[in-house]
Amino acid sequence: MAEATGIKEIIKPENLVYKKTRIMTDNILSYCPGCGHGTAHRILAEIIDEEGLQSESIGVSPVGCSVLLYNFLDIDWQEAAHGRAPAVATAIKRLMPEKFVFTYQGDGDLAAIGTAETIHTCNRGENILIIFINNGIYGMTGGQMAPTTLPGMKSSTSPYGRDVKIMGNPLKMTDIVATLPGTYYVTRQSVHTPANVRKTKKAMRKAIQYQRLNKGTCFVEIVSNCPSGWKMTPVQSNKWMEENMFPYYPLGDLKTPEKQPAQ
Amino acid sequence: MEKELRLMKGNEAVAEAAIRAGADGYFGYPITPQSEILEYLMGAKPYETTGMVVLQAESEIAAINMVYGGAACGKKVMTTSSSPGISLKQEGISYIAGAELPCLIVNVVRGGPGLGTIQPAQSDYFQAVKGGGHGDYHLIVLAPASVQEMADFVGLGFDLAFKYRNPVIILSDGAIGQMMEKVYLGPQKERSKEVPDWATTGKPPTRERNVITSLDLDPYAQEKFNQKLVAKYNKIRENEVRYEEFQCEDAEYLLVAYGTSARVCQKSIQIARGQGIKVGLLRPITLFPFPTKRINELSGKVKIILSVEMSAGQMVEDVLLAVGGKVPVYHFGRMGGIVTEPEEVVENLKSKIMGG
Amino acid sequence: MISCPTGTIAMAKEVNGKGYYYAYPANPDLCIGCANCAMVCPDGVITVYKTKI
Repeated sequence: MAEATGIKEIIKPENLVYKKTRIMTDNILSYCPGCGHGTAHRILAEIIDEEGLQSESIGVSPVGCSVLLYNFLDIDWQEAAHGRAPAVATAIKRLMPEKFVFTYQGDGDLAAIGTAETIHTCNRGENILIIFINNGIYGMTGGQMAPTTLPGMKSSTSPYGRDVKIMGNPLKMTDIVATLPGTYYVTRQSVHTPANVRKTKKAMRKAIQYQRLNKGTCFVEIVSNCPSGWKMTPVQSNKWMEENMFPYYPLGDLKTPEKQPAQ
Repeated sequence: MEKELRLMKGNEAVAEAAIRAGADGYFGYPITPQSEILEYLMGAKPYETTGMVVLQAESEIAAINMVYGGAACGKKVMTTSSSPGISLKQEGISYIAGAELPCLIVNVVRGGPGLGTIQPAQSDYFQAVKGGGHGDYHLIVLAPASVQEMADFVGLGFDLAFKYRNPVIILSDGAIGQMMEKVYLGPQKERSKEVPDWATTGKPPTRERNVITSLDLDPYAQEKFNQKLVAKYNKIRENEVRYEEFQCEDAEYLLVAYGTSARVCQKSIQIARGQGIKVGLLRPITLFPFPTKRINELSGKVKIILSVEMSAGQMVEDVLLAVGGKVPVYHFGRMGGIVTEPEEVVENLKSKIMGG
Repeated sequence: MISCPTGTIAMAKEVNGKGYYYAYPANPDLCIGCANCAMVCPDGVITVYKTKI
């Protein structure tokens, strides 16, 4: 067959269509099978590579599933305390304004313990990028309820479903920060299909480019799945996410330099 | 080297000394009795002269995490607060110690526990010296007893912090923070352009990426790290003890006190010697490392040691450890924000001499 | 499987050394080099080459 001889001829640099970016280290990812974190990391790493930002980037990693983020991207990292990444990033950017500074946080980090830091950093309009991975659950600690857990959704601390009378409604942090004048670009994306991956990459690239203009905080939410926490297979979890998470957290730009949300 | 003479509040002296020491950043939050530090810095606008960043954070917690971020970039950063605010910062301080970052913290102690009072106290000794945050770590603790020392310890604190890659805390109190005295201020130092090789400044092709973290899930590696910290603290104990003695050469009784209590004791010694009691004072300047060796030596020459501290008895435990049972050790001090009076110390010492 | 438009990739019936079912090229002849698989792969293990035959 043409295959057997063909393979060696095909694997040549000029025939390359896609290869994992060199910004991703070769360390084995610590995530569960099918988790969106890996894809989100890769998009971020690709853009850092393409925009030539490796020597300018300083990332702040959270506490949560992605606590070991600093082992997967080959840039300088600081590990922050739970929820405090925006404060850490504020100091870095203020002391070294020419660097590209970003945080990468989960729903517990950003919307529970870190709510004050998130809102005040966006309110001050710090010139950083905040990446918010929202999967409606606490993955690392074993599947507990998050501030973004949907009404009726089961988790290990809401075994009969989230009761809004007791626990309140899910918090839409992205909508909240979009109303603050300090934010410049706010968007919500996902990474579960190739089409969405392309859209997310476009949105993140815009966010990184806007961040250079020093006009305010750029905020990218990525609605993602958690097969382990939701107790589904990766394929099932993506479908569940489309049917349940997206109606509550619709994808799209909430705030762009041209379009400001109604106050 | 010309020094400028000013009449300043303790809090203001800290702020001015920070600017002159070439600090890169200050992150704080208002709390009585130290809000003047933040106010002075905002008024002095050092970001226009030296480029120093001054930011009022949304909470003490945010402020200490900003210090973490700045310190991890190798910059000279500091924060100040008072007792309840320092309690909020403990997690952040533990992270800074666990990541081996240099920084300066100032605690202008007020009466506690809880919301307490706004008057001075010395009841944060345990919090500063014995831990405060979780895990095996120590802060280098400097205890000023005058406005001059408030100013001098800022530069000293930064030097020690960067020498050992450890956070340093200046344990002051509300009286020293608020009182006005003459202070000689050094000239303006240039902000350092040196970048430590461990700092996160953006990874150039010439080196591996720098990761500042205090997490290590491998227990054997973490133990090695803990041992490294233990070795560091032992080195600090050997090399950085600082104290001052006052009329100890012929003393039969010894007072041990720091900060405002030390100033009170100096007057007490005058009163006591006027009554024929030969008493001296050992004033620890570093509370960690504690002048254990010197107190042990002195305990061989005196009959009674009285630890004077505005608390329920915190430093006295370290004095007891240092003395090792050779002579009786007692504690005396007012609490609730009341400053001990010199006569009270003398009366208390006399009662111990009679009773003992 | 889902993202692949031509059915090139499928899940293996055995587990790998880490105990997980893995994706592999079951029908490599059907591959058109669109790189959808590589784009979606959370572990970033796929490299795609394409040439004119």
